[in-house]
Amino acid sequence: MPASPAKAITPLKLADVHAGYRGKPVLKGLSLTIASGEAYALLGPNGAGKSTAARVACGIVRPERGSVAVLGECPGRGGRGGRHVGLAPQEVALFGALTIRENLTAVARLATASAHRPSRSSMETAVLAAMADTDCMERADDRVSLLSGGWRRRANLAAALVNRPALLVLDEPTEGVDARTRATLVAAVRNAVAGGAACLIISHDAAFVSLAADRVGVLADGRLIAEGPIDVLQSRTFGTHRLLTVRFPTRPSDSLARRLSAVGLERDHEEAGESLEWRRIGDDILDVAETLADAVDEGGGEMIIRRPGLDELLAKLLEQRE
Amino acid sequence: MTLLLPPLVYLLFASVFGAGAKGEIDPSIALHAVAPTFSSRGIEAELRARLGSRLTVLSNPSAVETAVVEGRSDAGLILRPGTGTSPEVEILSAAGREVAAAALEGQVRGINAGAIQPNGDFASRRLSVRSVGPQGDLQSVYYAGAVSIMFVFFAAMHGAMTGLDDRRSGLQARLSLVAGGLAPILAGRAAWLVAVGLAQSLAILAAAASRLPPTAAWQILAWAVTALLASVAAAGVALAVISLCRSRDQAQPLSTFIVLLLAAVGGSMAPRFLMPDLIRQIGWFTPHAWAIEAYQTVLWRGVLDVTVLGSWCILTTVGLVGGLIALAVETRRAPA
Repeated sequence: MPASPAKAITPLKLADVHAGYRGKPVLKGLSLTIASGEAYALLGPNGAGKSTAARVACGIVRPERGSVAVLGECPGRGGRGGRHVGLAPQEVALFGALTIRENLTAVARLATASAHRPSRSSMETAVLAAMADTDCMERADDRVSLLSGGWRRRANLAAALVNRPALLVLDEPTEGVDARTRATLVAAVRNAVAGGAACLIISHDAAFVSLAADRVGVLADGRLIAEGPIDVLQSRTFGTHRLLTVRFPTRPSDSLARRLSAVGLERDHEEAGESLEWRRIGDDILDVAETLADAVDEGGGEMIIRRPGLDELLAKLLEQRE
Repeated sequence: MTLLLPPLVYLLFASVFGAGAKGEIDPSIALHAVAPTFSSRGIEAELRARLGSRLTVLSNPSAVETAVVEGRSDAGLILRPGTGTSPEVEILSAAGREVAAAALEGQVRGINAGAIQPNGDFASRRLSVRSVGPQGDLQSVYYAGAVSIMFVFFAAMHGAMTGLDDRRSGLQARLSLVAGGLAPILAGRAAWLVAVGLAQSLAILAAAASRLPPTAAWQILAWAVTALLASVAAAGVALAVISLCRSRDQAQPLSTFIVLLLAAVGGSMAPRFLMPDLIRQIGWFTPHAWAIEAYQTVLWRGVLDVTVLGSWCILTTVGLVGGLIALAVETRRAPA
């Protein structure tokens, strides 16, 4: 089937966007493009401008400078680009008094009310598909206000998916969910992307982003400081380096702690003032692990060696920028 | 707001109701002197000095009666040639405004006859009070409208506050994207508020039904139109007020203050003719005054005249302007 003209146009293009609130700049020249069939995650510390970028992409915040186009159209006031966007806001944006099915039907009906009157069956089909994608069928007829956080998150994503938008914008879609729900949400996003949708993800959930996103962009102080596929960024940043994590169930002895520090491991995690975890990234991790093995074993600890993940990538990139 | 609004409400209520409770009311009077004499001109001049612009001189007795029946004047005064030098005084009183006629009677009795004619005395002046217009339990009709418009505003403000939750959660953003703008979302919210307001008005009408005078079908229809447009006005005002608020903490005291203010000044709590003249005039800037006027005209006076049509236009305009303000503010609002 030939691609429609709309599909040939980039689903999301931000060019040199400057935006902020009440005179306070948040985005300072952000440019990014998301293609059809691509999921792009924006990472960064709190206050970097990730949610503002999502709002700009939806047309909720108008840029002071630069341009935003969704399928070539402005998504803001007076533009039609917003109609191509499926938004899952950070909070669960649903009618609490309605069931999941009723919420999705309302969103589907609203989308098509001003364009063309859909047949009842096509709307029902769309609602069923969105619920199936997010594995919501089991609780389809329960009121949203009575659902647990995980089910609400599924419903929140389903409402973004129901109109099969060209651009999905997901702001912290996995906040407070368990591993099973996260896997469901990943599958739903990948399914939408496989169907040709573009997806902008704002998330602090490294596990979700690693599984759902094709590319990531790292935002710091309103500017994109790195961008690319996760593997490429990891290779570029860490090369063959590995991460060694040494973890103890209880506080290790002072002598062992000193020994860990002596080989370059840094305290990473503190609970009630007691360090239980030490970490180090380097290209000599295997050697370090070998020298520590007996002592860690005697101290009741464990050692994990793996490639640095998204959290480490983000921390390193921000560190390099500083 | 928590500390500012209660004293403001106190000062307002003391001003609005204090004078009426003491009997110091500012009634509007319609006057006609059938055959002007030195004495009648003296009474007119004295009343003019006391009432100012609240005294309206009309060209014939029936015009005075009509003005009182239609509520344009609170009481009427007709001066006829008497047997002596003093005129015969007839005071026209409408149901529900007897206190205005009593106040006028007091004014007339208080006029120093000596100031009018050298040898005149009050005893020679014959004074009578005549009831005009429909008679019966006007207060039941009055408060059916007055209470319904007040509660329609309460309900509209409360209902419109869900918009704050929708804005905070992102539901409003989601729906406006899907619908291609905020206008359909606000229109939908307004439609819900109007439906709730209409249902509330209907409930009050049902409660008042046994106290109402015999009512024709057209009066029920005109009442329904008034209730609908009053609900439209309430929805518009509520959406505008809530659009200006950033949180429920802001909206709750502010909306309560506005509802109480409009209800007090607009005549929902006590008839406006009991209020000081300035407050009465300010009352015309509230939808309440127009809604109550329309309800009374339709149900009590039994006419569908320019007063009712004018009220309908004003209520519609208030609703539309409120809706447009809400749309403009919500559209321009940057997310927090």
